[in-house]
Amino acid sequence: MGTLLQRLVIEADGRYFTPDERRQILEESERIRDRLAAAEHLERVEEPVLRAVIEEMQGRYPNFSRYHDQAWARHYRDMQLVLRAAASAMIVNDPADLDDRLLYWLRTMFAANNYTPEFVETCFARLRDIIRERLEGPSADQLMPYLDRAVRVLSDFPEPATAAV
Amino acid sequence: MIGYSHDLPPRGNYFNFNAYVRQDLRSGTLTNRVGAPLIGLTDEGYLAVVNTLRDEFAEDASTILKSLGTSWGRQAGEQFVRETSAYYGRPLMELPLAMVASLLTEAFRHHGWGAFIFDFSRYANGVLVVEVREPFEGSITKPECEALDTMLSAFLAGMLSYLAGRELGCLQTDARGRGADASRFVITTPDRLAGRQSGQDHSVVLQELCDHRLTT
Repeated sequence: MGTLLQRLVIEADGRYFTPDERRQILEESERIRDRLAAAEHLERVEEPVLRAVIEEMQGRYPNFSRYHDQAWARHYRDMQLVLRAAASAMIVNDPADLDDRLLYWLRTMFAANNYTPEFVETCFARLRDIIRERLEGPSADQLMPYLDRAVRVLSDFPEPATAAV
Repeated sequence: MIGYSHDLPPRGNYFNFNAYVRQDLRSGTLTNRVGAPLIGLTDEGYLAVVNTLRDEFAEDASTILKSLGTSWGRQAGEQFVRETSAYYGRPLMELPLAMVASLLTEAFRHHGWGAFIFDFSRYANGVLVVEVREPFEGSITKPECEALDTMLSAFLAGMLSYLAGRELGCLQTDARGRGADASRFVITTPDRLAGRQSGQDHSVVLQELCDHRLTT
């Protein structure tokens, strides 16, 4: 409950928490339980989800592996990083943490590799959608804002002069 | 068969702020994640250095600033290689070029130098282009002064020379301090930059360097 607790502590400078603030902290502790459960659920389905996405993308982009060394294995790793960072950011309820922890860094790599925004958006949208299919309602609901953010941030870069997908 | 990528560990951004910067309030120090000391350089501090050099050394001030930047850049390059190689479990030069570009971008961003784009697309021509939005240096020096990112230019030359393992020069073609939308730098071997002046048209410089390389 990093960000909420940090905010409340800063606001309560020089005084005790108010009843409303104490209630918010207790409610947040309950939500953490739910978010931890969602992260555990994600961990269980990670591998089959990633394999499903890769297989779909291989069908859509048959030339991708001609452009990059260990193309699909590395892309598998990149998606794995996104899922794990999304789970961490979700647990602490801090979407912005995802940007600095991973998304900006990964987006720079995608652009430098001459991936296209369309390729990245397609891939991470399918990752999000398959996660939504495989996870039960509450777990999927917890994760969706983070995976939506990943789709939006990761695909936000200019078209390359020469595409390599 | 789809498999794990064994050659690269599943590790994210080394320079992630929450993990990279550590503050010890008891000792009043800032360090990075492996304990290397950090210190914030204010605008006033930097301007004092530049103005003092100008007052004391007149026309030699720029040469001293460049020497300072080159030396600093080389040491930063050594630190960059050492720390990232340890974190990712293999020598930096064995990492994919796109990953090196991304790590350089994050390193500069998280040390407050500005938002960098490293363009390796002319690598085959022996030319690297760096674009910097919000460079701290040219943004704080007065227009009537040099208004160039002199120390950054030398820093890039020093750092990238260390990474490349050979001497490189850096020419600034656009300067934010002179009204351009971003500062731009062209990096290649010093002999290819000989006779060129800062502020020459960026696209012309690039074209000439790439054409020349292709015809020799």
